[in-house]
Amino acid sequence: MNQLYGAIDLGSNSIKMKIVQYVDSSFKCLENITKEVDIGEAVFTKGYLKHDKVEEIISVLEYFKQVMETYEVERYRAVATSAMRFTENSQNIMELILMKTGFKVEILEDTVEKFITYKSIRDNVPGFQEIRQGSLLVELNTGSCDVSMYLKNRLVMNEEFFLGTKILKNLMKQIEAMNVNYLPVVGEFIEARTNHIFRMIKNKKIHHYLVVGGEVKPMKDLLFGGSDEILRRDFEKVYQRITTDHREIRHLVEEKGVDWYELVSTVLLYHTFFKLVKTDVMVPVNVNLRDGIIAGLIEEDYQLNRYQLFNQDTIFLATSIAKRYKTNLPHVKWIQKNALIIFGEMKQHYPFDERDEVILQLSALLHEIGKFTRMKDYMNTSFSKIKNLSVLGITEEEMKLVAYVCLMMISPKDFKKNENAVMVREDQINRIFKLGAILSLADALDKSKRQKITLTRVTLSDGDLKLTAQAQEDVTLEYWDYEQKRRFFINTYGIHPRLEFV
Amino acid sequence: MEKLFFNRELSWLNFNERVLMEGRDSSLPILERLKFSGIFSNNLDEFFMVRMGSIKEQIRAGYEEEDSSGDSPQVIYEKIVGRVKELVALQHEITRECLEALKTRDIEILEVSEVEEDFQTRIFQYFHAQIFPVLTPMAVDFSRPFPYISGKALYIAARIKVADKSQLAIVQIPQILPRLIPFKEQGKTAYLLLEDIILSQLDKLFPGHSVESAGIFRITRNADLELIQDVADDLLLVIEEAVKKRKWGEVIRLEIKEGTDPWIQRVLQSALSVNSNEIYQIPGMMELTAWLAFSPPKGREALAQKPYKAKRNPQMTKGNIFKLIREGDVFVHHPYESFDVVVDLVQKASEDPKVLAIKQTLYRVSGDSAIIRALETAAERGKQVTVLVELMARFDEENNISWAKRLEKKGVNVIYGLVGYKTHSKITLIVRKEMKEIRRYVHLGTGNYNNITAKRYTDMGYFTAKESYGSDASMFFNMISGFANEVVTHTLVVAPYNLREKFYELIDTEVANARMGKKARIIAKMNALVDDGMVDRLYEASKAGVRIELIVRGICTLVPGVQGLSENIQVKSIIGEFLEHSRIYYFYNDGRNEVYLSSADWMTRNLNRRIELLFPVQDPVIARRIRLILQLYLGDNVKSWRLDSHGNYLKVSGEGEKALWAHEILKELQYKDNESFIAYLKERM
Repeated sequence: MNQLYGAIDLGSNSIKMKIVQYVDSSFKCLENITKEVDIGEAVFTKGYLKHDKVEEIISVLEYFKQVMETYEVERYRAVATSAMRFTENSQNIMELILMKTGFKVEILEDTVEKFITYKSIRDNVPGFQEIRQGSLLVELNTGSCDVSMYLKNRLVMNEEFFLGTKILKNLMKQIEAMNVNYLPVVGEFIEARTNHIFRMIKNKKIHHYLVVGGEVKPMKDLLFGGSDEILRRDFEKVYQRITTDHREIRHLVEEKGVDWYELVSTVLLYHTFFKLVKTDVMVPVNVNLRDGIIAGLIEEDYQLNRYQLFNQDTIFLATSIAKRYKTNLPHVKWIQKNALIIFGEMKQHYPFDERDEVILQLSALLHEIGKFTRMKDYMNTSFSKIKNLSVLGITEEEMKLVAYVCLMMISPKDFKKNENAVMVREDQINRIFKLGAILSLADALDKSKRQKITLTRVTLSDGDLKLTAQAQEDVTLEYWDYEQKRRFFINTYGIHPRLEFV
Repeated sequence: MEKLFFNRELSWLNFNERVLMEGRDSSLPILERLKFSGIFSNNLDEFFMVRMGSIKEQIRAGYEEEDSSGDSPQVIYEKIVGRVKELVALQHEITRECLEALKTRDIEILEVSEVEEDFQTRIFQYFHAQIFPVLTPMAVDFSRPFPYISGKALYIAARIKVADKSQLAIVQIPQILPRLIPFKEQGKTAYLLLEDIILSQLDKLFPGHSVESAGIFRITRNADLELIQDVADDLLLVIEEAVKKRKWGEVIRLEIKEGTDPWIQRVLQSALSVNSNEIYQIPGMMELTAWLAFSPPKGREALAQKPYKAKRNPQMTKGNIFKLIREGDVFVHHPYESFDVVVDLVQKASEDPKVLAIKQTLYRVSGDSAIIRALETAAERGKQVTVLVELMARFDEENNISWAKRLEKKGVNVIYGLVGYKTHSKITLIVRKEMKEIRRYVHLGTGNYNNITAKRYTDMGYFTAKESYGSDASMFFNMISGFANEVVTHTLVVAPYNLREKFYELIDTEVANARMGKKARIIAKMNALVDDGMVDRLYEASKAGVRIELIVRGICTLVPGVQGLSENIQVKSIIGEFLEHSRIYYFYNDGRNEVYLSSADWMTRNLNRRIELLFPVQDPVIARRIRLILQLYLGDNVKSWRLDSHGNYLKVSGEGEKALWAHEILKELQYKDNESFIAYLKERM
């Protein structure tokens, strides 16, 4: 099979396009174009884009359209990132782009953007599995900075800071006007904004320090001779030069047309985290959103499931959040497990969205986080906390869905009466009911929160969902709640759950 | 040790002298020798149009900074004037020698007064029937402005007596009529000069007035096209405007026939605002470029060079052109191998349903170009055709604007390159959707896509379907379209981004090897070596012990053979039937024998201000073939000149040695592929 794929990325500093050919399970890059268009500067200072800038974007996209047509590319995805997220007139711009170029550009949420980048890292960084055993990954973009920590093949931390290069640049210019020795001051600012996670990173067995971001390549090429691995001592030397007398180095950077402030922001930020890790090597990772987008398109077309690992990361992050809110982890994990068994059987017979399995698991893990602050009426507290959460790989819309499913799961009877449920979109109702019904059944099976019932088998035939289970202790409480939730399940699916113990 | 540089203008004049000296080569047919006199004139015209204006401007602006050769603009100007006068005298001496030799073969140029009386009537008839109707005499007096005098056209200036006062009249020699008018006289073929006929009948143009004296003159205007590029929104419009303005450029040279009435000279000098040192007295026939268009009379073809018929590249004679390129890189050496293969590729691509896109840079396109037609066809067939037309190819601007507009009408996406950079690279990219995958075919060359000059210029071309070239070519076209900033390439090296660094790196590698006691060698062939940075690098390499052989056709500011600076550098120049135009760079690199071809010379403008390409010849057999061609050039002892440390070019004497005439050997060599080329050329050497 021979298929062409395109990816367009409207970033803060540039618009990029990649076209690849997927032949015999390998990629061949046909085009990889970067056109500098400074969108971020205007957005991060004024909040909107003027007409001439929009025209510039459109002219670049018109050219990209022409290149795509040259290769007859039909399968593509065009996305915009942080700058467009912050632009007041972004919807208007997207419409203009669609009208003039035919490109439907999606504005990516930051969690999705990160998720796509991670897909790209998985495909492009050698020894990814090994890296996941103990690594710190710092991604710095124009709008934000994202810090992730992997331990024992799990994503154990993912924190986002509003510390992008454009923001740091603005700050740096202001401080430069006050103090010639402005760089250590900015370093101090970065530390102040991030130090609450230092404790989580320090003393962990981190053997890999990976840095990602738009300025990684110029940093690597201009300051470290293009090296794929930067030694701590070399980094320190450059850091010292930058923070003491940087006239020569600044001249070198600016001569190459690279923005000094953005580059130096990168060095300062990476330096902040380099101090916390045990390894003496920093690995600049050259990955981009376009690779991740293309990988995603191929995954869809070829029904590949190479990225299962990333869904696992999302689940791990949700588990960490639940833990942070002092949730009863054995209980929520038990629900997660039983819900997955029921879901596994149901999806053989009923249509579900491909993301429902992740939504279901997140709902199981997070539904009780409201209890941390308010035991009474915790469902509404959980709802509002969940919908404001930011979890890698989950869109805002999906997060809201999780919140609604939790609301449904906790109190199916009162769902429609709940003031929060008023905002539910019509097209989502059915999905919420379906997932809520499964979860409330799974929740009922652990009503005592003591994991007494183990589901061994679930089969659906002739309108009956047979739940085969084992139990060593008295399960009256579970059975009582099961009977309550069973009605809801029947009303939702028209299927009769039948619990049998062996 | 102090760095030494030759002055670039004087070096260029030396090159033109070498061209002129071909006219003294008695082994050449006489008309071929006369052609070199015409080429000399043509070159000199361009030199005045392009270089003198800017030097004059520097003097006027009071700029006194010395250049790298140590001279101020004023000193350089004076040296140039002196040298030009010497060379023009030499040109007329050589032309006279040739005309004398021609006379011994019963062909001569006569003055009207030398023609027998019977014949005068026929001249009179010819004048009335053919010449008189196209003449427009223009009187000059206080009531009329001085008429516009076109650059490079011949004029007669006449002193007319009007009411006891002298008055100037101007008559342009019509360019639509042949300059040399043949007639037979007693079995001989004789020619009369058009201007001579007009002069003889001048009184017919001014009835009622007496013509007191008359003389022929010609002017050259400054034509350095300066664009305020930063404010140029539409490059096409700006260039059109600049070309229009060029017609009104300042006069920087007045050539006047020796012996012309001083009154006429004074009036012209004042009217044209010319300084005394800008006036050149011409001792013989003016405007010798006439010899470039001169064809021998029927039956006397032996007096001219036999036209050379290029060979078809033996690898490209049959079969599917794309398949051939897919099977292996193909090398073509023009003009020995025909340029038709390049045209064929574009034509085939334009008709091939599998071809999705054709992208090409066009710098100087010939008149009725088959390539342009093929590109139009491709666009009409719905292919994506992108053509970069470099509008600023000097003196071709009008021609290029015309092609650009024509192509645009046919739906070709015409781009005009990056503002501030001339796109000088020569590259074609063909994107083809094949059974299995998309494949890219690339042609890279050292010369322009011009089927006329490809018959006279030595250039090299390289066809490849290798992915690394294809992907770089795509990147390159995105970059020159102005829609890509990053220039990250695998194989191609692009100026002004990294070409200079690449050359430095290649030279530095030789230096490092030499310092380690390893063999280190550079052979570089180019049109001009002017860049101070490159020269410095070569001096350093020489000091480190790198053996450097340079084949530089034209300007060379490097001083070779200076002890402690450049004793390991040799410079030679080859001037002959074909204009040496290929740029070849060879680096020994510890036995890796790296061969590169390029569109760029080692000139500052090529490395800093132009979009140029350098590409490696990755096919080992082709690389061997090119290396052998370099050896042949180095060994040439017939058409070679060696530069000494004083700036003199000394003709290489092959006396007592086997004659090696590179152009002739390459013309005659018969072979069926690169391997046999290598074998046969080795035999000839």
